Amino acid sequence: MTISQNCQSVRGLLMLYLDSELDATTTHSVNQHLVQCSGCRERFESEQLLESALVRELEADEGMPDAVWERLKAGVAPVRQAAPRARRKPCNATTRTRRLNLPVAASLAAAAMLVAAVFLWQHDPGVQSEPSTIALVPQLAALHRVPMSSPSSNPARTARSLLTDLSLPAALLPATGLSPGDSVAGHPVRLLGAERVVVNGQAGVSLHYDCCGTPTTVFVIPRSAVMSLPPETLPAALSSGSVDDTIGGLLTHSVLGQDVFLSVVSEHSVVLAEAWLG
Amino acid sequence: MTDTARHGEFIELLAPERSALWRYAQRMCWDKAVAEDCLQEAVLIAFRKFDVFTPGTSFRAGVFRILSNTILNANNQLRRNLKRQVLSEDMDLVAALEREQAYDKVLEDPETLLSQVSDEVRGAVKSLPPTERMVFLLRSVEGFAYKQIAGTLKIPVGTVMSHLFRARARLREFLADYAAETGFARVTP
Repeated sequence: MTISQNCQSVRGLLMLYLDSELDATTTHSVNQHLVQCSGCRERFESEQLLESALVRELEADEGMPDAVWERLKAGVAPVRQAAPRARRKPCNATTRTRRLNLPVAASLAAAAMLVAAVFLWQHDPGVQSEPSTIALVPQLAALHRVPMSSPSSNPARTARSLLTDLSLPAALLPATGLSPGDSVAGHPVRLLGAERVVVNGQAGVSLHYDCCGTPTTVFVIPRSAVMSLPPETLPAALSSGSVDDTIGGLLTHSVLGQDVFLSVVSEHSVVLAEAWLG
Repeated sequence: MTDTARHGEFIELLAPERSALWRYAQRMCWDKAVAEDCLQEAVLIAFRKFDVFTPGTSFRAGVFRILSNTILNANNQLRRNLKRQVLSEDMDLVAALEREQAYDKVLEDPETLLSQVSDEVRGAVKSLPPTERMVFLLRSVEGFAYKQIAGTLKIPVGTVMSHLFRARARLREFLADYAAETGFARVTP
């Protein structure tokens, strides 16, 4: 019995025929059958129509958001873009209060500066991403909201990432993170990982922490990235030493040091951010 | 080639695939954040391998292969299921479908039916077993040949065909059920 004489056999091949996956001989046989058999031909045309309509429905979704595309591009830029963890339920244990200074915060900030110094030293100033046109603090907020590309709650994995992906000298590793049980302003914090960032067109580093189940990001970027902004914006605000801001529910606290700009972004608590940077 | 030039060339090749990659990653991952994670990792791997990319070969197939593997690595269960061959009784699903009158009605006017159930169809695709969904999306939506999909997923062509066959059967069964339940079959001439 040949294919061209058997509707049942041909119908079993229709999807392969539709996908152009049959060999030349079988394709020819199916062709011949479809010319001769109106029932199978109509069946094929209907299946073809259904498949096309189905695919059209599935293709109709909105495209990739510009923000995601920009993050993808930045991720492979000569200096890698950071991608912090996704937001989680904020801790409601604290409210905005006065500034606190804790030894652990000071040591963390110092460690962050040390890490930044290493990364910035490694950065080739001749290879930079295109300068960002958006304001600095919203940019930090946006970076904070991006899920980290390789999130890890495993300290060993984070350490490996710091050493290999970010080329952190092993001698500096102990200074980068908080051991389990450490806290800032009474909040338990845990280092998740670190990534290079491009902020306002300049290379820096972001350190990602879990604090009371809330993602918190510490950005460390060159002072010049801030000072190149219009003077009436952030530089003016920072002239007093520090600035707090609220961006879409996120709280930021930033300070400008001699060489670096430090900013804590969290949806958690300004008192925490203030304490973090000392 | 400088880093900046290499980056520019890579982005130029990646840009036309922007929507397709996003669509595929989102459909394969339940969570939007996970989809973006997979996409970011895949793009990074593709960029690292870009030095050995041969002009004239399919950049698109290469990026989809890397993204598929990233998604598979994120879900080991999915990788194990991928190699499962469809059993003969699975094929009965299609045979049974052939006998359903409601399916004949679906085929009479598929465009009208699909225009009424676009959200449900997306849900039906999402509810496909991940391996079937992956093969179906790569073939029907992204247009890859069976052999390319087999190479991408490192499974035999026969297994690709089985997963695809079953995915299509499930979607058609969903449409037939919908037509029967909503009376679509009765209102069409």
